[in-house]
Amino acid sequence: MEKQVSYEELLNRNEELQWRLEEAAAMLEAIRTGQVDALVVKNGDTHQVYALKTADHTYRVFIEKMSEGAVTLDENGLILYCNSGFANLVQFPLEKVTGVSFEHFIAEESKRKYRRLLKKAWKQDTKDELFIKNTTDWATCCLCSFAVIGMDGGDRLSVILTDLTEQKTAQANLMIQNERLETSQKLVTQQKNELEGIVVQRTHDLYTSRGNFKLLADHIAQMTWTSLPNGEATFYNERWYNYTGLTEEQSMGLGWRDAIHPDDLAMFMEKYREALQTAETFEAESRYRRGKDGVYRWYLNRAMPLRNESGEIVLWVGTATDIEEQKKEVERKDEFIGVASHELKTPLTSLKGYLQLILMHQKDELPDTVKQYINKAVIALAKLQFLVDDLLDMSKIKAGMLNYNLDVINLKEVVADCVENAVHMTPTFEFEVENDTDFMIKGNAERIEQVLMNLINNAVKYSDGSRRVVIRSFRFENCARVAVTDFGIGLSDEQMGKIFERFYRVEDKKNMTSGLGMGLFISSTIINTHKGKIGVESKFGEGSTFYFDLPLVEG
Amino acid sequence: MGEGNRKTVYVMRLFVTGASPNSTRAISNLKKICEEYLKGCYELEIIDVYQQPIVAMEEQLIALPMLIKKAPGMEKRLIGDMSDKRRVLKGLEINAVNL
Repeated sequence: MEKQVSYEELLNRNEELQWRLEEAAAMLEAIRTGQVDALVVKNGDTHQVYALKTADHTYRVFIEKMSEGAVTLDENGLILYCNSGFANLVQFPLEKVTGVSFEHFIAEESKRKYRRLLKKAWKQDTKDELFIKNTTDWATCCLCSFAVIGMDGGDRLSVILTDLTEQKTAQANLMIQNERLETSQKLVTQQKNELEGIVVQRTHDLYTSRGNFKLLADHIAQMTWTSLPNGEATFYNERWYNYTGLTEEQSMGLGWRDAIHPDDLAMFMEKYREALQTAETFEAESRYRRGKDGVYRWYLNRAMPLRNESGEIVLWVGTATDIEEQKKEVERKDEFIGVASHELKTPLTSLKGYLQLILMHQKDELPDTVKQYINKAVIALAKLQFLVDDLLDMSKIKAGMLNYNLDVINLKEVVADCVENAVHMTPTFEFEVENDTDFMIKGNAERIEQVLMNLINNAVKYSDGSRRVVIRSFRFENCARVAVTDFGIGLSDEQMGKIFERFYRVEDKKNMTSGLGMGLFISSTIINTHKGKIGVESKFGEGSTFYFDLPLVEG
Repeated sequence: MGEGNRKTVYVMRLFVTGASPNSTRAISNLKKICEEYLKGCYELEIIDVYQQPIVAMEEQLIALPMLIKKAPGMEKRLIGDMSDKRRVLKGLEINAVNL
């Protein structure tokens, strides 16, 4: 620049500089305030446009938001760019990652592999698993995909890192599951083999036991069968086929019903169905037709349910025992009792008559001793009468002919009569009576009296030295109850179960008691025909309370 | 490297725009210069203005990439891809006599 510059010229230059400065400042201001979209840069002969507003914004968002790590490396392996994903992975702030060598974040165990990989990556796209470490030296397994990006001023390498932890965990889990599966498969096979062994053994056992069972079943005197829980027969022994003459085909299912006497079938089926439902032992008498001559013989049928381990009924095992002979015996005996009691009744009546005539004899004064004998004879005769009456009742019950009229009667009066009678007959006993309420019932006074006298006589008979008997009548639910309590020998549980059976007598070795064991059976029959209920409560050695309930007449 | 530079720590911030050509070049070049002349006595933070706009707003940025020397001495700014080594050294006030 020349030294001789005029003031005016300097002024002009200054003005120009000022103006250029302002222009530059304005331009910078325009750029800074975002009024410029792009800058045009002279590059040799060509102009290059640099966008200021980001054109690749969309991709940037993608890369920033993705969970994978994205890194750009220069030829020395320096990190030129990384996304948040990578910064999170290595747990460094972004500004501490850029400009740092990528190798810095590779775990020791992967470093050699990384160097090899890096060399290869500049030639072709490649990927492999590498361990990336973070600030705490925790290594994360990542799949690293390398790709070369061509750029002016040198190529760059892009790396995408995918965290494989979850995948590895899943893989490990899968392996564990696989192992487990294999183990359990082995176990299953083993169990299967064991099971097969057991099945073979069991089949053999079963075969043996079946053979034993069949041998046993075919050689016992009874007919035996098994049936399903629904009553369909599944098995019969040889005796069944021999007796009924039915074929196996005819007997199976419900075919066996053809062998039962038509008169017994309804009763049989009812009891059978009840047993199947309640799962209680089945017991019924019925006649079966003998195949060869069509004769019916009496059989006692019994069946028991057979349960499996869980308590379910698998099948029923039944037997039918020939009781024809016993039946006939019982019939003969009943017939005999009937005839005998009838035959006894007539001379008994005349004996009673003559004794009364003797007592009424006025001509000669009888000596006191004779009178005493006669009184004793009368009492003995009364007892005999009771026994014969009982026998007669028995045969009537057996023949279904124990009939009598039912009237509306006052139970209180019946009880009072009986107590009076008892006091008269057994004056040595102390009777405690509680009988204050009128109870109207429908019944036969004579028969009720017979029952109550039977209970009182029993109380006296089994008193075992105690002289006390309590007789009470009271209301029980919608019935009138009469209860007779003694304090004698009492009953065991087993005895209580059988006490109302025919001919059952309580065995008592100390006190030989009299009686035929018919009283309670007759009593229970009478109470049953009155639609009532007879029962006993007792404690062995402490005494018993026998009672009966009779339905009250309404109104 | 001069003795006197040993204890002087250079604190620098390089502002870039993602992985754009000038930005990536700027990183590579600057890193080379630093490793060559300031090895072990510099702190360099590289900030992507897209990723950390808040940090970027603290500075009066005109054009990118831009290097700001915070220390030592006065704050100085350099724009460009840092390819002109002489200019960078001058801007950073590094004694390049030994070059």
